[in-house]
Amino acid sequence: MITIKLNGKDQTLPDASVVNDLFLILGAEGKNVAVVVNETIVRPENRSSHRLQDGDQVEILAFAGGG
Amino acid sequence: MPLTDQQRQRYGRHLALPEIGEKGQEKLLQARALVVGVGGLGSPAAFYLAAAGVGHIGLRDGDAFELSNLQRQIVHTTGSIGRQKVESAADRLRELDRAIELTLYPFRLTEANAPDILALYDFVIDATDNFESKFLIARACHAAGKPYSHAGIRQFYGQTMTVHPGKTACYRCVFHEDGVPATAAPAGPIGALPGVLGSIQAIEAIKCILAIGIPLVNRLLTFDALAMETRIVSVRRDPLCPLCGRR
Ligand SMILES: [Zn+2]
Repeated sequence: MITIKLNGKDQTLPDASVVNDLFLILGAEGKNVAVVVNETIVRPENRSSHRLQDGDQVEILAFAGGG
Repeated sequence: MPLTDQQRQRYGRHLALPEIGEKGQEKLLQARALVVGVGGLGSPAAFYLAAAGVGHIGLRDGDAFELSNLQRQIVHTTGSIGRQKVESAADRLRELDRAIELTLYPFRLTEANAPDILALYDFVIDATDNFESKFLIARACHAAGKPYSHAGIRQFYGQTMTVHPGKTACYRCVFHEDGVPATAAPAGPIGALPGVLGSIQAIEAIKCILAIGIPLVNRLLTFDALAMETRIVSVRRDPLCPLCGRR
């Protein structure tokens, strides 16, 4: 198991989890969000391959288009 | 131009701040800011810029004011219903200070008209209410090399980030255009939410004009009103960004 910070809170994940696995845990589609891992953007096409590491800081950001 | 006695009184609280002072106030009076969208975010942003003495403010909005806008778009009044938003906002800002120069653009920003409009301004406030406009502003400001403040809101949640195109992470670095939801903002928002975000945008504009403090660059500020939690998410420029990436 690994522990990451997800939007500032501890989240435990199985080893070898990728970014897309987070969406399953969150019950989110992952379509309308931006993902930042350790200050680096993970673009949608890389989310199924981007392996998460113990201690990663992960931010899932909602698209907010209102004004 | 040195300040008049009237201006010294009006901006007394600014003059007392060592970061602003007389020199800074003179800079603000000569500065030009463009507010794109005069709704929830643009109301407080434009209001505070005018109150701060930003000498020239451009207001861009193609919409007419509606009754349901009153819940959050505080630069307008009940008498604004049915009027062009830029006209109604301009009246209110003139009541605040007749000396502020205003330029009104009662139409949408487009790829075609953006370059000529942006060229006239030092700082752009993205206070629009749809993704198409937000991405357009990101592209146009990148092309024109103009710093801008992005903000977006939905329901009880808001986010904002300042961008110096080509130097700091841009809106397109963080938000991929093909991930845009069908609706910009599902329901809401709570009225005071754009007040918080729009005020931050005004502060960022003023800091940029005066070159004081640390701009909100390479950092997205997120605000969750229900949890009353603010977070700063650091983001680096994406080398693969279709807009500002090095290809
Ligand atoms: Zn970029």
